[in-house]
Amino acid sequence: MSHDHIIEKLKKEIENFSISIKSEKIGKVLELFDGIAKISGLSDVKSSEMVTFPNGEVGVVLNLEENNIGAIVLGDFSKIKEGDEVRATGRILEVPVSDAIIGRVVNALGQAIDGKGAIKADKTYPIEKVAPGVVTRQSVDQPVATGIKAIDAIIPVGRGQRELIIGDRQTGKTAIAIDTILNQKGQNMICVYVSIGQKDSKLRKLQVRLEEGGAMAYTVIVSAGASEAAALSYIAPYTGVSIAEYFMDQGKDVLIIYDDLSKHAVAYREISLLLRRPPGREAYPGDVFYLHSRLLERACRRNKDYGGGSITAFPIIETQAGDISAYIPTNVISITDGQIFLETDLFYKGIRPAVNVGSSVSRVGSSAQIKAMKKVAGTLKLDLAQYRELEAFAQFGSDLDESTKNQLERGKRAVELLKQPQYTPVKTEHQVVSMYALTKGFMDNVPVEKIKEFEVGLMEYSEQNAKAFYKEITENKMWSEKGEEALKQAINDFKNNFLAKAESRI
Amino acid sequence: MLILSNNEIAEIVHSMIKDKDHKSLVDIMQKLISLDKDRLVGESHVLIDTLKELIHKQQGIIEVDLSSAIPLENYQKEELGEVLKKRYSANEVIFKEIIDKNLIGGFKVEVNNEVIDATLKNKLSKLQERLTSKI
Repeated sequence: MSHDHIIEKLKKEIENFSISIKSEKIGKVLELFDGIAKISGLSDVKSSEMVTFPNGEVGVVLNLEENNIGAIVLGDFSKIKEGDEVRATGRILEVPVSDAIIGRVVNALGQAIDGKGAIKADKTYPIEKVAPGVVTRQSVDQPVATGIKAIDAIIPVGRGQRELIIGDRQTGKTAIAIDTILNQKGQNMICVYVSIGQKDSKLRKLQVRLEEGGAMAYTVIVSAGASEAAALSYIAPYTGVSIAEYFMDQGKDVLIIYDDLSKHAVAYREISLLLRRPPGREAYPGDVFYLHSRLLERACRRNKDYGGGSITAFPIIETQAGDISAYIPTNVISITDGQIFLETDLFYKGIRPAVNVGSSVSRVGSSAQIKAMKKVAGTLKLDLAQYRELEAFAQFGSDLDESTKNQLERGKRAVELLKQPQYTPVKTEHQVVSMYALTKGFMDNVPVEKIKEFEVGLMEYSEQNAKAFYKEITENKMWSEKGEEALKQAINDFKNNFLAKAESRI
Repeated sequence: MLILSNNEIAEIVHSMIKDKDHKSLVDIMQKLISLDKDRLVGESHVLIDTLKELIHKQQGIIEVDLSSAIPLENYQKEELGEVLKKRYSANEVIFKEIIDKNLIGGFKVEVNNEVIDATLKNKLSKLQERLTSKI
């Protein structure tokens, strides 16, 4: 294109340009502090409406008072002056969405922050939306394979479920989320990771890890960093779920992780206190329950008539010194469909992931489990429960009868089997095989310290020698007698070989 | 405890001073001043503003902030006043003139939080918005 052509085009554009002068409602900034703007005028503005400031910054109206309104400024508020004109837009805050957003890192307003250029958006979605109603929903019946044995077997999660991950700092909450994302490769799932008030270094590490694992091909990261305004932390989860809804509206399954909602609540508390809303328990405002319930209600599984698709939510809550009876943890526990408890004690005992299988629950996920898994997991749960009960007694002495001893040994092996290092997701059929071997007693005479090695070897061997079993699991989700025989044979062959080898080494 | 908003207090004061002679007005004012000193009335400047608005409303007066790059001629202001009177069904228009060279040309009228912006600056920024949005 030549210069003349551009000039011609511009001239034409300018010629065609005409504006009609209308009266506009405007307000004026009365005062501005800590990202909160008090604005006079704007008498017709609605709650949570978007307003614009002269230099392009946007704000969201949260307080409507008699003579003024209180709005949070999203972004840089250092250029806004007292007396600046504020315009109402008549819309609530929206984020740009498109398929091109996959693989990108965006901020709470949906703008790219990964230095790969702007994201071309064809649509915008409002960040606040009423959750899908009763008629549009369907109950959970498709599993989310997390690749973590302890979760897939004992606390299964289904598509459309909301499963809370809760635990102290440094117990591996994010690790579970990351492993789950990494395991979604080829599972027809889009992941949205919302980072709220996290260190930028942590986010960067996570992004690199996801890139290495090839997970960024189906993942979007929404970030409101610790250095950004509290207002951005407050809206980031809503932005994330709006992006998730965009994909759900295409009938896709989406997994969204909020890391973490305790920081979100803290950001909202900050905003509320600055807006002079009365504080309640732990200084959180009165509507902090609604803050999370309306967010998590947007996770759902829609039925075919309404386009299908689902949003599975993994909110994360950080507790202080294991106190799950604090305000925010109890709120979120009651909103979600179950929780995965992570404990510091277990973590330092070397049980990683440090999932407390006793107090972790999944209220709806079991209906999504495949039949084969349900069968082996039922026995495993029982084994573990009995082990926990007996564990306390076992410390008192050796005067135990044979069956108790057996149960203890089985329990030890079960705990050992559920240990799993980070970034090593296990396929569902492999999980079924190893748990089958355990619950049917095939591992009882394998030394506890050799369980790990045994498991790895067994998976390789059985995949070669019990193909019938694997085929049945992937196709019918359950084994037949024929497949079971083949597997039993394979396990026995492998075990004899394994034990003989172990002995010869000694 | 009964909590009255500033608007409500202003309305009460307004109804009190309506149709009063000079002497009783002075009495009411003194009473109000003493209340204000004892901090029994909220923000007094807000009260005064609201009261002014109420009185203006009753008498059909509108206050207009008129900004322009160069001062408007009297006949222009009169014409504008007539238009505004019709639009806001007012009896009287009080102009508060502001000269702002940054507006380049044209004028801007502000009435009760409503703006009619007919300045050149506004037109240019609208044009800029349009041209940049096309890319």
